[in-house]
Parts: sequence; structure tokens; C-alpha cells
Amino acid sequence: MLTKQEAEKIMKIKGNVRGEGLLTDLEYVRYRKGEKGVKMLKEKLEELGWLLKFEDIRSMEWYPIGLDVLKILVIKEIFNWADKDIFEMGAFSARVSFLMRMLMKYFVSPKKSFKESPKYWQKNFDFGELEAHEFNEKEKYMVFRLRNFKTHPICCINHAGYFVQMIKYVLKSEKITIEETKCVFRGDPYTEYTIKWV
Amino acid sequence: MVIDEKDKKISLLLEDLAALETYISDIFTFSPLPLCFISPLGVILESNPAFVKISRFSFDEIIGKAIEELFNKKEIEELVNDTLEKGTIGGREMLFSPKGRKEILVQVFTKARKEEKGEIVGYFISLFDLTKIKKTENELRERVEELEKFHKLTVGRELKMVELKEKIKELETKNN
Repeated sequence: MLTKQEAEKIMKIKGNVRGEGLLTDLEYVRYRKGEKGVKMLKEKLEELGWLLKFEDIRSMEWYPIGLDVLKILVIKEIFNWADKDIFEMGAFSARVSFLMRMLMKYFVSPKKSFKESPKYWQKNFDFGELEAHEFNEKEKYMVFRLRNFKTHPICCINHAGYFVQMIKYVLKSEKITIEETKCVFRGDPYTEYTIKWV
Repeated sequence: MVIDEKDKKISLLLEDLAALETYISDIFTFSPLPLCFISPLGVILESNPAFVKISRFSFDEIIGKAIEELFNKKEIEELVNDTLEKGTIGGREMLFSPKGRKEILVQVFTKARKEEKGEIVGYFISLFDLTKIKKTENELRERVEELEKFHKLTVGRELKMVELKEKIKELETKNN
């Protein structure tokens, strides 16, 4: 169970995220748990010492990344969600994201989307770099590397869901899988995602 | 001081952007007409509640779905090509396939969306369900056919009666 001390520690993580990251997850909670769920989330955050007016969050404003991490952890705890749900929440974010809509111009081909993905990262976070490392159309896989982004392991799952949904926009495949092939929390110098399709 | 001014301007721009976002979202959500946005690769990137409803898929299912799954393949290919060529298509009748239901007839409107350099980055599709209109049209057609039959019958009877009356008159004149 999350404590005030843990919440404080999480809030000290350096870096910022667009309000969009907070709002899309709120939308997912509303989608699955209704207004009651949103209220529960708000109350739990308050209990941990973070009074957050959801209605005042602006999608393009910057907010501490700690708040994003804390919110995901609270959601997982109060609804007793598994990693699969956190993954789905990430995918849902990519479905309703306003930023995503503004970047639709990159979704013209799988290769172009892949190449432009670092720009997308910069619009969402003011730290960390996403590297479009390898795109192999013949072997049907692509590799992303995320550098200088070490927040919390829960984010790895959430991001994986997000990436898969983004790829679904540009690849017509019934089966797309993602694997975290390297992770900063396992001692690697960066986090690496390998996406495969059939 | 310079930074303060810059911050103020950024803050104002962010406020404007947020207002614009809400405005777009409100229109999109409010529209009673089914509306969605399709990528150049034919994937549904955005859908309003009316489109979700008519498709009978959930919001989760519809986003990321290939548009060709909802239409006849040949018809949608033609529509996409025409949209990319002409920029907009107004009121084309097509068959639409909602999840687990029989195809329905719809009128389709499209508009290509271009980025700053003029490259097409996708297109909007809006639908108008013709099911009720077609049903009413068919009912009216049946009614008209019934009336025509009735008309033929009654007029035929009238003519027969006139003919008979004339014959009676003729016979009466002969008898007299």
C-alpha cells in the first residue's frame, strides 16, 4: 500500500510530462470505472498529500513526472489492476491523445512514423530521448531505445501499451507484439522495446 | 524581464490551444452524424460517439481498425481514390457493415485533410444512415402501386358500367 513517504519520494523524480499524459489516464479510469472511479483516484491522491484539481489540468501544460507516476501507481492499487490493465491504459492514451491527433501527419507510412517518433517523444516529455534504432520491414520488426528516462518500472509497462497502439495506426497486422528487450531497472544503460508483427 | 514576457506569451498561447482543443472536441462529440478520421493507410484514428454507435463496435475496438472492414472492399477503394484525387466526395450511396449486423445503406461524405506542405495526411468520413428513408421510400412505392391497381380496377369498372348503360339504352330504343 502506497504511503505518504513513498509518494513524496516519487514526487521528487525529475522531469515533466504534458498534462495530456494525466488527462488520458483519467479518461481511461472514467471509461472503465465511471465518475466514481475518478473520485476514488482523487481521494487517494489527496490522502497521499496531493490535492489535484483534475478539471484544471491543461493538456499542453507541463506537470511533474512524479505526479504521472504516482497517479498510475494509485490507479493500480485502488482498482487492483494487473500489469495488463496498465498496458491497456497506455494503449488507450494513444487512442484519445490530442497530441497524437496533431501528429497524424506522420502516420502516412510505417517507416515515416518510425523515423519521426523521436519528435513525438519530445512533445510529451521534457526529458529522455527516444531513439528510432532499427526498422526491418523484411524481418518485420522495429527497435526503439529510450535513453535518460528512469522514473519507475510501472512506466515501462504503460509505455509499451502506448507504443503498440501507435504502431497499430501504421501497420495492418492482426498480431503485433512488444517486448522490453532491455531495461534501465535491470541494469541496462537504456530501455529498449522490440516490436514484431506478422 | 525578457523571459517573463516570453513566458507570458507562451502561457497565453497554451490557454488558446486548450480552448481550441475543447472547442474541437465539443463539436466532434456533439455531432449527431457519424464522423471519423482515417489515416492514409486506411486506419481509423479518431471516431466520434455517433460513429461508434452506428458501427456497433466499442470505442476501444473501433480505433485502429481498418476502414475496409466496415465497407465493401471495392467500394471503399474507389471512395478513397476519388477522395485523394478530388479532395472531397459528397453523398455517395454505399453499403456499411456494422458489427454483427446486416449491411445498411448509407450516404457517405469525405474530405481529405492536408498538412502545411499540401501532402494529404488522411481524410474525414461522415455517414448518413439511409435505412429509415429507404424504408419510407419502399412503403410509399408499395402504396403508390396499390393505388394504381385500385385506380385501374375502379376506372375499368366505371367504363364497363358506361358501356352497359349504353347497351341498355340501345335495347330500350329498339324495343320502343
